Amino acid sequence: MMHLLTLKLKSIPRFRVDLSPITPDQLGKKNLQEICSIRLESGNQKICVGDLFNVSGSESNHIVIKDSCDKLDRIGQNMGTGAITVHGSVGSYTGFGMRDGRITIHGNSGDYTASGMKKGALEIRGNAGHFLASAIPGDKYGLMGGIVIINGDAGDRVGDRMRRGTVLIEGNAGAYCASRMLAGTIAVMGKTADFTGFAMKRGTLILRNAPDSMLATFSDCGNHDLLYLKFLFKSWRKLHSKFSEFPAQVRVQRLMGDRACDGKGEILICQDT
Amino acid sequence: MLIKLVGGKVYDPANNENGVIRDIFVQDGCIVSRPHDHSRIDETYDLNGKIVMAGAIDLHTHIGGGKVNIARAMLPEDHRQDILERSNLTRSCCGRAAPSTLATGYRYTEMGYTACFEPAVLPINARQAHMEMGDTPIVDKGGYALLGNDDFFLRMMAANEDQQLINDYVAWTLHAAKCIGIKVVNPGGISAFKFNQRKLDVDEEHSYYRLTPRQILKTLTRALHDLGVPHPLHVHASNLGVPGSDDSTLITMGAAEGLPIHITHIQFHSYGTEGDYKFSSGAARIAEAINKNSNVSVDVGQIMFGQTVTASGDNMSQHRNAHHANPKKWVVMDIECDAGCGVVPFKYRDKNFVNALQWAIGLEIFLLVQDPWRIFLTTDHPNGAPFTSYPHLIKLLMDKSFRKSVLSTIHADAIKMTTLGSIEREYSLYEIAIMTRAAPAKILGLSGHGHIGVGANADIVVYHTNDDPEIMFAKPLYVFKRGELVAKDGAIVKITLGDIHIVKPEFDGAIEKRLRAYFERYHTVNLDNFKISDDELSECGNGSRMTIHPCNKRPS
Repeated sequence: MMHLLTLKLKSIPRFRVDLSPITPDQLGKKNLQEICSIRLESGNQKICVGDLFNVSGSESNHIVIKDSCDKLDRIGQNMGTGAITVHGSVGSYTGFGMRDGRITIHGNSGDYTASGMKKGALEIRGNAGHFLASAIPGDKYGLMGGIVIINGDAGDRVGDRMRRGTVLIEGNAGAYCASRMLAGTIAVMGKTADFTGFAMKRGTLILRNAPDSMLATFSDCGNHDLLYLKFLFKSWRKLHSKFSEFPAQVRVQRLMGDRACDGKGEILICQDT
Repeated sequence: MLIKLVGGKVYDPANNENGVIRDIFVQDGCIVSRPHDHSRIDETYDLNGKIVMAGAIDLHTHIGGGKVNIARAMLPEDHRQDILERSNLTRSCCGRAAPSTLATGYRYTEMGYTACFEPAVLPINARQAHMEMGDTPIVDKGGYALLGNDDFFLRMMAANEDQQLINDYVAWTLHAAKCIGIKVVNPGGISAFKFNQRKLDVDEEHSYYRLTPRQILKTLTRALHDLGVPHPLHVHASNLGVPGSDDSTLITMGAAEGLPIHITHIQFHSYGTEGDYKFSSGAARIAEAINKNSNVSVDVGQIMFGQTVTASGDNMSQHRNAHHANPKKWVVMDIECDAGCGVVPFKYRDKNFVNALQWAIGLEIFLLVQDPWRIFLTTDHPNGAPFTSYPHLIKLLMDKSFRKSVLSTIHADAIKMTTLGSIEREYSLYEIAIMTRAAPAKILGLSGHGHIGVGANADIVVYHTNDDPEIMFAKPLYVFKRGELVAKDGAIVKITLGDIHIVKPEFDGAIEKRLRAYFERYHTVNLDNFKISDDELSECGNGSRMTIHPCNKRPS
């Protein structure tokens, strides 16, 4: 059996490291020596992969990063195939512009996780930072496709300018959840903080618990049994997530908004059955 | 310091040298005649088997000013995807379609360009434009001030003021904005757009000022002629990109009434209305008119396939094209009621009928215009393509088999609509040297540029001989700027400051009295702050030298 390509961090680097060159597509058929000599941006310097990590294994279609820390940025940037599994926390821009494949982080992730991601699956076993699935300044869109699962909590501005795809948060989400959202689906099992749905244009935000306060620019459209939710929740059954246990049939309160901004978005608050 | 360049094959059309093998001597930044035999030669370069030309000149490239900055701000993806790392000599920079000032200077120099001219300096934005140009290293710079859509000018014309007064205003603008020429963009059209007109033909009236583009063109070409400004009126004609624009382009040529006129990015103005798509090539008609009218010069504005961004003062056409934006974002705005600006990112695709035919039309014009002294090689950077595509464009012009092989890959219906496949002409190195060196220098009135005769600035480019012009022109062996070696094998080896080129035509200062009253009534800035002084210009350019080119005022 082939051994997975494993990068074990030797020690915590002094500066942040841009790990974008380490994706299955870019490593391809490179041998260990070639991989070790890849130079990574770190601060205003460049350091070799071999100096930063103990590298072993050969199956570069599935990269394992061990003993990771929150200074490793841009893990899986633009990756189009294969898998990356990280043990430990990661820095910002995890899965930035990801085109396909699977990233699993057994730890926390930093800001702008899944920004500009187009397809594939991204799972964070810990918490995600701010701007999860959001657009970086200057970009038009945040998440553009694929599925993002957060086992823990997420920070502020989840799904800012998100365009398509699904974000499932098992814990709580911070303020401005689904702000300026354009389309797609966000579901939060825990609580959301202030300004939920601020300037939301379209899209769906599903909340297990009602927020403490709602913006005045959302209109209550009453309680509903929405058939499509049955199919949506069923599609979550196969996920490695608490969302797989979501009840098949839930009555929801539907709030439409943000009416200051087109008002075609919806916040669905699950009602106790 | 005396430098000797030995045995290069010299292509210097301004001095009728077509592949002459000779030595060149350079002293104190200038080309000098052969010194006495006992003179000490400090440096010698053996150029045996190499090709030598003067530094290339791009007379129409958007490298600084308001809209370039908007394009930069709007396209972070362009900057993220194209990063140049710092070296011991060069600073880090980025951008391809809308490169930073540094990337612009480095890349132009690496390709053997030593002078670039920003064609749309809005006088109110001139300070910003000069600062950006001043920040662009190595290459010489200059700008054309925009007139013809500003209210002061249109008011004067509407009031039927004397040509002499208008000449004074034009000259005053050249002084105030520190420019080398005048450009008019969609004459009257930018202003008409603000009065809710969405198209303005050459003989159509502006709904408020009751002026036609023809009158504006006539007045401005006359003004530059009277003032003796070397560069004729630089015209971005009416109806850019519209099928049927070939007609208005021909009328525009006629509006100059025999006076010199330069029509810019003419490819975008050479579209007919024939065929199933009601979009066809007007290149043959346009080229015929250029061949016939010796007062007309043009630059092409060739498009190349790929991602770029269009940045133009022509808010009317940019507003019309905004729905083509790719990526989907655009800006169309007014600037201080003086003119407008539109920035629309574009992706030209070879499998798109219109884009494919645009590409073919540009090449048809290149190949059908017979006099290389009156047609210049541009892509209207970045509107047709980034300037880095010039080597590829030169190959398309010099190698007909290559051209035909690329032609066979474009949209099939476009191939049927173009005569490009039957044009056998291939540009020679001599003709390329004319259209990229000698001719632009001549039409801009740059006596020290574009040639390597005695007395010229020692802006010299040395190329490896190569059967593939694209490889040859992409990475010259040596680039000398004012006698200093600035690039070697396509990499920067020294950073210098380029000159800034301006003209200062004579005029009657009484015009300023009227302007002062106008400024106080309508403008957001004080007239004295509007004008850029010589010292300030130098400061904008980090102390770069100012070259003032003479004007020969003609009695009106």
